[in-house]
Amino acid sequence: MPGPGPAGGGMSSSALESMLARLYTDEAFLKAFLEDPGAALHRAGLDETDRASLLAIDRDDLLLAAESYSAKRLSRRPGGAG
Amino acid sequence: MGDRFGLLWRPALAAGILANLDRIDVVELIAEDHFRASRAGLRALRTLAAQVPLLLHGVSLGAASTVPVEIRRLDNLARLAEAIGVAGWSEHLAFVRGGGVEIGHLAAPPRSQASIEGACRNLERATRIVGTAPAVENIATLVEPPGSTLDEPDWITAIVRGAGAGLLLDLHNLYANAVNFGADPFAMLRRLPLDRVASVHLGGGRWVDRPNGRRRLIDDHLHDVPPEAFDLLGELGRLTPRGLTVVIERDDHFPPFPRLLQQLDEARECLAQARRAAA
Repeated sequence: MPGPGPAGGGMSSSALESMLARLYTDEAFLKAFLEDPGAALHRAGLDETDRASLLAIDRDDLLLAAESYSAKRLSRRPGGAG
Repeated sequence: MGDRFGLLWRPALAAGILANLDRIDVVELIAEDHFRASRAGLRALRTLAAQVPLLLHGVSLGAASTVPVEIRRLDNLARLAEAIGVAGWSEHLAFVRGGGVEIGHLAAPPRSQASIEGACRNLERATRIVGTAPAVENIATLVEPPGSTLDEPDWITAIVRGAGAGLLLDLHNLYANAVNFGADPFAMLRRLPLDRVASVHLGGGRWVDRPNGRRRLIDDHLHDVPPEAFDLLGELGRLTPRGLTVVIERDDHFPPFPRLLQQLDEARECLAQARRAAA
Protein backbone atom coordinates (compact mmCIF):
# COMPACT_ATOMS: atom_id res chain seq x y z
CA MET A 1 0.00 0.00 0.00
CA PRO A 2 1.28 3.47 -0.72
CA GLY A 3 2.64 4.45 2.63
CA PRO A 4 4.33 7.34 4.27
CA GLY A 5 7.44 8.51 2.51
CA PRO A 6 10.41 10.05 4.21
CA ALA A 7 9.74 12.37 7.07
CA GLY A 8 8.19 15.57 5.91
CA GLY A 9 4.95 16.78 4.42
CA GLY A 10 3.47 19.37 6.69
CA MET A 11 3.36 22.79 5.16
CA SER A 12 5.63 21.88 2.26
CA SER A 13 2.92 20.33 0.08
CA SER A 14 2.61 23.33 -2.21
CA ALA A 15 6.30 23.35 -3.18
CA LEU A 16 6.24 19.59 -3.69
CA GLU A 17 3.13 19.80 -5.88
CA SER A 18 4.87 22.40 -8.05
CA MET A 19 7.99 20.31 -8.35
CA LEU A 20 6.03 17.15 -9.18
CA ALA A 21 4.04 19.05 -11.81
CA ARG A 22 7.32 20.13 -13.38
CA LEU A 23 8.78 16.61 -13.28
CA TYR A 24 5.61 15.23 -14.91
CA THR A 25 5.58 17.78 -17.73
CA ASP A 26 9.09 19.12 -18.38
CA GLU A 27 10.97 16.41 -20.25
CA ALA A 28 14.38 18.10 -20.03
CA PHE A 29 14.04 18.70 -16.30
CA LEU A 30 12.89 15.11 -15.74
CA LYS A 31 15.92 13.82 -17.66
CA ALA A 32 18.25 15.99 -15.60
CA PHE A 33 16.59 14.80 -12.39
CA LEU A 34 16.85 11.14 -13.35
CA GLU A 35 20.54 11.54 -14.18
CA ASP A 36 21.51 13.57 -11.12
CA PRO A 37 18.64 14.37 -8.73
CA GLY A 38 20.78 16.39 -6.34
CA ALA A 39 22.09 18.65 -9.07
CA ALA A 40 18.66 19.08 -10.66
CA LEU A 41 17.17 20.19 -7.35
CA HIS A 42 20.13 22.38 -6.42
CA ARG A 43 18.58 25.61 -7.65
CA ALA A 44 14.92 24.65 -7.09
CA GLY A 45 14.58 26.64 -3.90
CA LEU A 46 13.24 23.74 -1.85
CA ASP A 47 13.67 23.39 1.87
CA GLU A 48 15.64 20.43 3.16
CA THR A 49 12.55 18.36 3.96
CA ASP A 50 11.10 18.69 0.47
CA ARG A 51 14.48 18.05 -1.08
CA ALA A 52 14.95 14.85 0.94
CA SER A 53 11.44 13.68 -0.03
CA LEU A 54 12.15 14.14 -3.72
CA LEU A 55 15.56 12.52 -3.52
CA ALA A 56 13.88 9.44 -2.05
CA ILE A 57 11.34 9.09 -4.87
CA ASP A 58 11.42 5.85 -6.86
CA ARG A 59 12.91 7.06 -10.12
CA ASP A 60 11.56 4.24 -12.27
CA ASP A 61 8.03 4.89 -10.99
CA LEU A 62 8.51 8.61 -11.63
CA LEU A 63 9.58 7.93 -15.22
CA LEU A 64 6.59 5.66 -15.81
CA ALA A 65 4.21 8.24 -14.35
CA ALA A 66 5.67 11.01 -16.51
CA GLU A 67 5.37 8.80 -19.61
CA SER A 68 1.77 8.00 -18.70
CA TYR A 69 0.85 11.68 -18.27
CA SER A 70 2.57 12.56 -21.52
CA ALA A 71 0.63 9.87 -23.39
CA LYS A 72 -2.63 11.14 -21.90
CA ARG A 73 -1.85 14.71 -22.95
CA LEU A 74 -0.94 13.56 -26.46
CA SER A 75 -4.06 11.43 -26.84
CA ARG A 76 -6.14 14.60 -26.35
CA ARG A 77 -9.05 12.49 -25.24
CA PRO A 78 -11.54 14.94 -23.82
CA GLY A 79 -12.10 14.52 -20.13
CA GLY A 80 -10.26 11.30 -19.48
CA ALA A 81 -11.81 10.13 -16.24
CA GLY A 82 -9.71 9.12 -13.29
CA MET B 1 -32.42 3.53 -2.70
CA GLY B 2 -31.33 0.23 -4.16
CA ASP B 3 -28.23 -0.45 -6.21
CA ARG B 4 -27.99 1.32 -9.57
CA PHE B 5 -25.77 0.57 -12.54
CA GLY B 6 -24.64 2.83 -15.35
CA LEU B 7 -22.03 4.01 -17.79
CA LEU B 8 -19.84 6.99 -18.42
CA TRP B 9 -21.22 8.99 -21.34
CA ARG B 10 -19.05 9.03 -24.43
CA PRO B 11 -20.20 10.21 -27.87
CA ALA B 12 -19.16 6.83 -29.29
CA LEU B 13 -21.50 5.13 -26.80
CA ALA B 14 -24.44 7.49 -27.22
CA ALA B 15 -26.48 5.31 -29.56
CA GLY B 16 -25.95 2.24 -27.40
CA ILE B 17 -26.87 4.05 -24.21
CA LEU B 18 -30.02 5.60 -25.69
CA ALA B 19 -31.14 2.28 -27.12
CA ASN B 20 -30.64 0.46 -23.82
CA LEU B 21 -31.99 2.79 -21.15
CA ASP B 22 -34.07 -0.09 -19.81
CA ARG B 23 -30.76 -1.68 -18.70
CA ILE B 24 -28.96 1.50 -17.63
CA ASP B 25 -30.04 3.18 -14.39
CA VAL B 26 -27.70 6.16 -14.42
CA VAL B 27 -25.33 7.99 -16.78
CA GLU B 28 -22.24 9.92 -15.77
CA LEU B 29 -20.93 12.92 -17.73
CA ILE B 30 -17.44 14.40 -17.65
CA ALA B 31 -18.27 17.97 -16.67
CA GLU B 32 -15.43 19.62 -18.59
CA ASP B 33 -16.60 18.06 -21.85
CA HIS B 34 -19.79 20.16 -21.65
CA PHE B 35 -18.69 23.52 -20.25
CA ARG B 36 -18.89 25.01 -23.74
CA ALA B 37 -21.99 23.14 -24.84
CA SER B 38 -24.28 25.01 -27.21
CA ARG B 39 -27.88 25.72 -26.26
CA ALA B 40 -28.90 22.79 -28.42
CA GLY B 41 -26.34 20.64 -26.65
CA LEU B 42 -27.67 21.60 -23.23
CA ARG B 43 -31.21 20.96 -24.42
CA ALA B 44 -30.17 17.47 -25.49
CA LEU B 45 -28.61 16.84 -22.08
CA ARG B 46 -31.79 18.06 -20.34
CA THR B 47 -33.77 15.67 -22.48
CA LEU B 48 -31.43 12.87 -21.49
CA ALA B 49 -31.72 13.89 -17.83
CA ALA B 50 -35.48 13.52 -18.10
CA GLN B 51 -34.99 9.89 -19.11
CA VAL B 52 -32.17 8.77 -16.82
CA PRO B 53 -30.46 10.34 -13.78
CA LEU B 54 -27.30 12.19 -14.82
CA LEU B 55 -24.24 12.60 -12.62
CA LEU B 56 -21.53 15.17 -13.31
CA HIS B 57 -17.93 14.07 -12.88
CA GLY B 58 -15.23 16.75 -12.70
CA VAL B 59 -11.63 16.07 -13.67
CA SER B 60 -9.88 19.43 -13.42
CA LEU B 61 -10.60 21.09 -10.08
CA GLY B 62 -7.50 19.84 -8.32
CA ALA B 63 -9.44 19.61 -5.07
CA ALA B 64 -6.83 17.71 -3.04
CA SER B 65 -4.30 20.48 -2.98
CA THR B 66 -2.94 23.18 -0.75
CA VAL B 67 -3.72 25.52 -3.66
CA PRO B 68 -7.29 26.87 -3.60
CA VAL B 69 -9.58 25.65 -6.38
CA GLU B 70 -10.36 28.36 -8.91
CA ILE B 71 -13.74 30.06 -8.59
CA ARG B 72 -14.27 30.17 -12.35
CA ARG B 73 -14.04 26.38 -12.56
CA LEU B 74 -16.62 26.03 -9.81
CA ASP B 75 -18.85 28.60 -11.50
CA ASN B 76 -18.70 26.53 -14.69
CA LEU B 77 -19.70 23.43 -12.75
CA ALA B 78 -22.54 25.22 -10.99
CA ARG B 79 -23.92 26.62 -14.25
CA LEU B 80 -23.77 23.27 -16.00
CA ALA B 81 -25.32 21.38 -13.09
CA GLU B 82 -28.20 23.83 -12.98
CA ALA B 83 -28.68 23.94 -16.74
CA ILE B 84 -28.94 20.17 -17.05
CA GLY B 85 -30.55 19.30 -13.76
CA VAL B 86 -28.11 16.68 -12.51
CA ALA B 87 -28.66 14.22 -9.70
CA GLY B 88 -25.22 14.79 -8.16
CA TRP B 89 -21.58 15.51 -8.85
CA SER B 90 -18.13 14.29 -7.98
CA GLU B 91 -14.44 15.18 -8.19
CA HIS B 92 -11.11 13.50 -7.57
CA LEU B 93 -8.79 13.59 -4.60
CA ALA B 94 -6.00 14.82 -6.82
CA PHE B 95 -3.97 17.83 -7.80
CA VAL B 96 -3.75 18.64 -11.50
CA ARG B 97 -1.49 21.71 -11.63
CA GLY B 98 1.30 23.30 -9.67
CA GLY B 99 3.56 26.29 -10.05
CA GLY B 100 1.56 27.42 -13.07
CA VAL B 101 2.02 24.10 -14.87
CA GLU B 102 -0.95 21.98 -15.99
CA ILE B 103 -0.21 18.26 -15.66
CA GLY B 104 -3.09 17.36 -17.94
CA HIS B 105 -4.32 14.57 -15.71
CA LEU B 106 -4.84 13.57 -12.08
CA ALA B 107 -1.84 13.36 -9.77
CA ALA B 108 -1.51 12.28 -6.15
CA PRO B 109 -0.41 15.08 -3.81
CA PRO B 110 1.72 14.53 -0.74
CA ARG B 111 -0.52 12.73 1.74
CA SER B 112 -0.02 15.14 4.58
CA GLN B 113 -1.96 17.22 7.07
CA ALA B 114 -1.48 20.20 4.77
CA SER B 115 -3.18 18.52 1.81
CA ILE B 116 -5.97 17.23 4.06
CA GLU B 117 -6.66 20.77 5.24
CA GLY B 118 -6.36 22.13 1.70
CA ALA B 119 -8.80 19.52 0.40
CA CYS B 120 -11.32 20.25 3.15
CA ARG B 121 -11.14 23.99 2.40
CA ASN B 122 -11.53 23.33 -1.32
CA LEU B 123 -14.48 21.00 -0.83
CA GLU B 124 -16.20 23.53 1.42
CA ARG B 125 -15.74 26.20 -1.27
CA ALA B 126 -16.99 23.81 -3.96
CA THR B 127 -20.08 22.93 -1.94
CA ARG B 128 -20.87 26.59 -1.32
CA ILE B 129 -20.57 27.59 -4.98
CA VAL B 130 -22.10 24.56 -6.68
CA GLY B 131 -24.82 24.24 -4.07
CA THR B 132 -24.33 20.56 -3.27
CA ALA B 133 -21.36 18.64 -1.90
CA PRO B 134 -19.35 16.53 -4.32
CA ALA B 135 -18.52 12.91 -3.72
CA VAL B 136 -14.73 12.55 -3.78
CA GLU B 137 -12.92 9.81 -5.68
CA ASN B 138 -9.69 7.99 -4.86
CA ILE B 139 -7.22 8.07 -7.75
CA ALA B 140 -4.68 5.65 -9.15
CA THR B 141 -1.06 6.73 -8.83
CA LEU B 142 2.16 5.29 -10.24
CA VAL B 143 4.25 7.22 -7.73
CA GLU B 144 4.14 7.05 -3.97
CA PRO B 145 3.72 10.77 -3.36
CA PRO B 146 6.85 12.24 -1.78
CA GLY B 147 6.35 14.21 1.41
CA SER B 148 3.59 11.88 2.63
CA THR B 149 3.12 11.34 6.34
CA LEU B 150 -0.02 9.19 6.04
CA ASP B 151 -0.84 6.15 3.99
CA GLU B 152 -3.66 6.27 1.45
CA PRO B 153 -6.56 4.84 3.54
CA ASP B 154 -5.79 7.16 6.48
CA TRP B 155 -5.44 10.16 4.18
CA ILE B 156 -8.70 9.48 2.33
CA THR B 157 -10.53 8.86 5.60
CA ALA B 158 -9.29 12.13 7.08
CA ILE B 159 -10.53 14.12 4.09
CA VAL B 160 -13.87 12.35 3.83
CA ARG B 161 -14.55 12.72 7.55
CA GLY B 162 -13.16 16.26 7.72
CA ALA B 163 -15.18 17.51 4.76
CA GLY B 164 -18.28 15.46 5.52
CA ALA B 165 -18.06 14.22 1.93
CA GLY B 166 -19.28 11.06 0.29
CA LEU B 167 -16.66 8.70 -1.12
CA LEU B 168 -16.86 7.69 -4.77
CA LEU B 169 -14.80 4.54 -4.53
CA ASP B 170 -12.95 3.58 -7.70
CA LEU B 171 -12.24 -0.09 -7.18
CA HIS B 172 -9.80 -0.41 -10.05
CA ASN B 173 -7.80 2.55 -8.74
CA LEU B 174 -7.75 0.92 -5.32
CA TYR B 175 -6.70 -2.40 -6.83
CA ALA B 176 -3.97 -0.81 -8.97
CA ASN B 177 -2.47 1.13 -6.06
CA ALA B 178 -2.56 -1.96 -3.85
CA VAL B 179 -0.85 -4.31 -6.31
CA ASN B 180 1.65 -1.69 -7.50
CA PHE B 181 2.85 -0.96 -4.00
CA GLY B 182 2.58 -4.37 -2.39
CA ALA B 183 -0.63 -4.12 -0.38
CA ASP B 184 -3.63 -6.41 0.03
CA PRO B 185 -6.50 -4.69 -1.82
CA PHE B 186 -9.13 -6.27 0.42
CA ALA B 187 -7.38 -5.07 3.57
CA MET B 188 -7.08 -1.64 2.00
CA LEU B 189 -10.80 -1.65 1.18
CA ARG B 190 -11.73 -2.51 4.75
CA ARG B 191 -9.72 0.44 6.10
CA LEU B 192 -11.69 3.00 4.09
CA PRO B 193 -14.72 4.86 5.49
CA LEU B 194 -17.22 2.46 3.93
CA ASP B 195 -20.17 4.14 5.63
CA ARG B 196 -19.49 7.12 3.33
CA VAL B 197 -19.43 5.13 0.08
CA ALA B 198 -22.49 5.75 -2.05
CA SER B 199 -20.99 5.28 -5.49
CA VAL B 200 -18.43 3.09 -7.20
CA HIS B 201 -16.36 3.29 -10.35
CA LEU B 202 -15.17 0.22 -12.22
CA GLY B 203 -12.51 0.52 -14.89
CA GLY B 204 -9.76 -1.45 -16.48
CA GLY B 205 -6.09 -1.21 -17.22
CA ARG B 206 -2.99 -2.99 -18.45
CA TRP B 207 0.14 -4.43 -16.95
CA VAL B 208 3.52 -3.15 -18.09
CA ASP B 209 6.88 -4.82 -17.49
CA ARG B 210 9.54 -2.40 -16.32
CA PRO B 211 13.25 -2.60 -17.22
CA ASN B 212 14.03 -3.19 -13.52
CA GLY B 213 12.00 -6.41 -13.59
CA ARG B 214 8.98 -5.02 -11.76
CA ARG B 215 5.45 -4.94 -13.13
CA ARG B 216 3.06 -2.05 -12.82
CA LEU B 217 -0.69 -1.93 -13.44
CA ILE B 218 -1.73 1.21 -15.30
CA ASP B 219 -5.36 2.30 -14.89
CA ASP B 220 -6.12 3.42 -18.44
CA HIS B 221 -9.87 2.89 -18.90
CA LEU B 222 -9.15 1.22 -22.23
CA HIS B 223 -9.77 -2.36 -21.13
CA ASP B 224 -12.51 -4.49 -19.61
CA VAL B 225 -13.12 -4.47 -15.89
CA PRO B 226 -10.93 -7.28 -14.50
CA PRO B 227 -12.28 -10.03 -12.23
CA GLU B 228 -10.36 -8.59 -9.28
CA ALA B 229 -12.39 -5.37 -9.41
CA PHE B 230 -15.62 -7.37 -9.44
CA ASP B 231 -14.33 -9.36 -6.44
CA LEU B 232 -13.77 -6.09 -4.59
CA LEU B 233 -17.28 -4.96 -5.53
CA GLY B 234 -18.65 -8.15 -4.02
CA GLU B 235 -16.67 -7.59 -0.83
CA LEU B 236 -17.90 -4.00 -0.65
CA GLY B 237 -21.47 -5.23 -1.08
CA ARG B 238 -21.00 -7.63 1.81
CA LEU B 239 -19.54 -4.90 4.02
CA THR B 240 -22.07 -2.15 3.44
CA PRO B 241 -25.84 -2.47 3.28
CA ARG B 242 -26.18 0.93 1.63
CA GLY B 243 -27.46 1.13 -1.94
CA LEU B 244 -24.59 1.77 -4.35
CA THR B 245 -24.45 3.54 -7.70
CA VAL B 246 -21.96 1.62 -9.85
CA VAL B 247 -20.60 3.21 -13.02
CA ILE B 248 -18.31 1.53 -15.53
CA GLU B 249 -15.78 3.93 -17.02
CA ARG B 250 -14.42 3.43 -20.50
CA ASP B 251 -12.58 6.26 -22.24
CA ASP B 252 -11.71 4.72 -25.60
CA HIS B 253 -11.02 1.43 -27.45
CA PHE B 254 -14.70 0.68 -26.99
CA PRO B 255 -15.83 -2.92 -27.29
CA PRO B 256 -19.12 -3.79 -28.98
CA PHE B 257 -21.89 -2.29 -26.85
CA PRO B 258 -23.29 -5.68 -25.78
CA ARG B 259 -19.94 -6.34 -24.09
CA LEU B 260 -20.41 -3.21 -21.94
CA LEU B 261 -23.94 -4.30 -21.10
CA GLN B 262 -22.58 -7.71 -20.16
CA GLN B 263 -20.11 -6.07 -17.78
CA LEU B 264 -22.96 -4.07 -16.26
CA ASP B 265 -24.86 -7.32 -15.78
CA GLU B 266 -21.78 -8.85 -14.13
CA ALA B 267 -21.64 -5.93 -11.70
CA ARG B 268 -25.36 -6.25 -11.02
CA GLU B 269 -25.10 -9.98 -10.35
CA CYS B 270 -21.98 -9.51 -8.25
CA LEU B 271 -23.71 -7.06 -5.92
CA ALA B 272 -26.93 -9.10 -5.85
CA GLN B 273 -24.96 -12.15 -4.71
CA ALA B 274 -23.19 -10.08 -2.06
CA ARG B 275 -26.51 -8.72 -0.81
CA ARG B 276 -27.95 -12.25 -0.56
CA ALA B 277 -24.86 -13.47 1.30
CA ALA B 278 -25.03 -10.61 3.76
CA ALA B 279 -28.77 -10.99 4.41
